Amino acid sequence: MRNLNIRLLLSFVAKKKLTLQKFYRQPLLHVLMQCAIIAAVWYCAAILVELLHLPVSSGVLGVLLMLILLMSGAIKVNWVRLGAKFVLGELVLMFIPLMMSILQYKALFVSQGWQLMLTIILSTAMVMLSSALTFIMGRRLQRRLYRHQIHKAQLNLKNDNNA
Amino acid sequence: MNTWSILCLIWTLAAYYMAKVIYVRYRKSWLNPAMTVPVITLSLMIIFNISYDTYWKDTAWIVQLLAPATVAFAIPIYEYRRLIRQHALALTASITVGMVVGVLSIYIFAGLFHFDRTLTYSLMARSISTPFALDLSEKIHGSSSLVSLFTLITGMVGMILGDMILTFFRIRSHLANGIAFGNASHGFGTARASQRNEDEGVIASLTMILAGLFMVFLGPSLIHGVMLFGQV
Repeated sequence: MRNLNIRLLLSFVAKKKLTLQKFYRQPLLHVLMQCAIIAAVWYCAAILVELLHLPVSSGVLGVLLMLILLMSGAIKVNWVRLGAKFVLGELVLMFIPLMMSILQYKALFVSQGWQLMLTIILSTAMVMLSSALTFIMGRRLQRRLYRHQIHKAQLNLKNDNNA
Repeated sequence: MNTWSILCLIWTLAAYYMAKVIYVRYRKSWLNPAMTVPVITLSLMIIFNISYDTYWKDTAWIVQLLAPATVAFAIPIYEYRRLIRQHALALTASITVGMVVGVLSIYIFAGLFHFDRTLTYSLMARSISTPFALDLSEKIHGSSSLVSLFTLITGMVGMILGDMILTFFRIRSHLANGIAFGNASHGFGTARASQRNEDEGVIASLTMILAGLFMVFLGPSLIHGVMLFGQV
């Protein structure tokens, strides 16, 4: 019994270490190469936006371009999966410097702070509820359509058999 | 002067790394680096009397990285394309409704509290993931710094309120919960959803990305439509 407890404890400690390692000790070169592929796709998108004067930003066009490349098989998911995971995990770092600009809006938050907070809280709650309810209703509708199709197909089958 | 800028850069990177290590270790949602690092940095800047321009000088390039980072959003979409196709109708409907409700509710509150135009536009761009929100705010002439701040607050609020609202209204379907988190509170909601349940996390991150793309393409006309409708 005591042995088991110790083993459990050990596994717990090991698990904690593992999560830390997972975050920062991935094969670094691998991740960097994959990030370079993602960056290259973005660069192509940026050039396209500039050349054709498209109304979308380079990042958004890059998403579409990347999707097309993945769908067509020009890029294998395995080439970019680790890199994408890394980039999406560190997304927070990239907008921290922007956050510091609150310093310029001190007056705004003193004068309208609680109205802003109330607006954000209520609006977020409304978005959350409405989207969850819509999804539930939409799925019900989709199921009904699906059932209807099956029903029709079965009817056709019966008619065929009768004929 | 210049040394302060470089110090700010080093501090930001080091603080982010430390905050992340602590967050990974303890897994408490209030320890999220997106929350802790700005708060500590802001208080340090006030204590040492560093201006925003000084800070911005050497850290601006970090924000520039957001554009290439957006491209990485394509990979989850590709990997879960079957799941998306399976729930295509329900996903489209709930993202559309969620975004319209978001913009409309902000319009109503803006009228109620007399927010000015920049503030209203920045609030409208706020419920999607930061890179998309910044993109959208550029198109509708919001303020990028306000948008990033509102986006952060929205994320925190959604993460805290989400559990309460979804439990209160007895929404038990994992998919519906995931969509609610992804639609309303983007990255933070996704993090919370994946703590609750793995499926929820996946669907939340997909919803977040799709909603972001939806708003970047259709958001400007939706927002201008609402504003025009209000003036009539």
